[in-house]
Amino acid sequence: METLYKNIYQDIINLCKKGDRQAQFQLYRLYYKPMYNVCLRMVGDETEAEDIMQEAFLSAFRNIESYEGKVSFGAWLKKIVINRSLDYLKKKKIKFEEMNEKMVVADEPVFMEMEENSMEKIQKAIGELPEKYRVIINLFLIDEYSHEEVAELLGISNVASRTQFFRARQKLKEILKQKEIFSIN
Amino acid sequence: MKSNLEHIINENREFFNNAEPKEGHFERFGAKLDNEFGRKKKFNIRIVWQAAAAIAFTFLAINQALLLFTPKEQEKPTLASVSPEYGEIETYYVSAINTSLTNWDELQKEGALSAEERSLLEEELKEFDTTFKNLQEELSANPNDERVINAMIEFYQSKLNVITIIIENMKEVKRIKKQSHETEI
Repeated sequence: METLYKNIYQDIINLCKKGDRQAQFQLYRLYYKPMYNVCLRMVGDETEAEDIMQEAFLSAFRNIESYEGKVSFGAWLKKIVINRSLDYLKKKKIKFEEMNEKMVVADEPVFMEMEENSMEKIQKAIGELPEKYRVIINLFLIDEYSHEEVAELLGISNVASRTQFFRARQKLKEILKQKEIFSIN
Repeated sequence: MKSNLEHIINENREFFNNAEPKEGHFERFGAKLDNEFGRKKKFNIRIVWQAAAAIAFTFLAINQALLLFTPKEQEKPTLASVSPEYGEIETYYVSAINTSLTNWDELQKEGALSAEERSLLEEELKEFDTTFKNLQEELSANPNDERVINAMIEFYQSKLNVITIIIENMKEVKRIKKQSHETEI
């Protein structure tokens, strides 16, 4: 089958398809950091994040034949990491079910003043969000998934994905305001 | 100046990818890799068949090699099995003895020996064979014993000497016979 996506590390990926341990380890070296960060943002625990990230790599190697090259290898791997993280959160009874959508949530952008340490403060505030809000903020704002993709990952409707994002963003704004970290609109 | 939260995150996305797993994660992953793909290889009928075929082939090859290169069980050790140098000495004597025996056969055909003499000499050769077998057994029991090795070399020397003397005598007899025949004429 012709690879549609030309990966920089295609040679290594091909070796992994043959079960080459060295190549597997090499791919881990190349991708562990972004994958670990995705995972850590999702689950919020270093030990769990490492474990889930490594298990995701093993799962990727087990199923590497199913990587058809329609997306970059990194994107494919990241989806596995996210799904594994979501499985972990679901075990912890975090539910992403449809919410009461009767209440219309406005799409109100959050404006703030950029200061020194702003990024640390934003990161801390995201960390303080309830888990389901944290996940949706991460997937949408940091991992740049579309609402369609987020809806698919979480198994909710497109509308619910948007609504939950707006609510999560409002919650984030509240935390930031409460802490008077920023001068927020 | 106030900025949109999305814009701030967009501009500083790398900030969210800076975390590193705890030290030792490479080793931990290596162990997981070995556990998953090393010792606990997943059952795969094709691989099992390939392995079985490879094992069968190896057995056949080893068997063949043993047949070709291992000395037959009945064969006892000789000087060649002590060292290549002794092997050379042995080869010299064996070939010299064989050449002499060929001469002997030729002379015999010419009727140089009477039937009685011939049987006596054959007894002598049998004696040599018995001695040789005893020496081989000694060598087998004491592979590096200098005394046994020297005895074996002496054995070859004396066998060659005896055969040479007999041949010389046979030639002498032949010469005398020829001479007397000529005189008679």
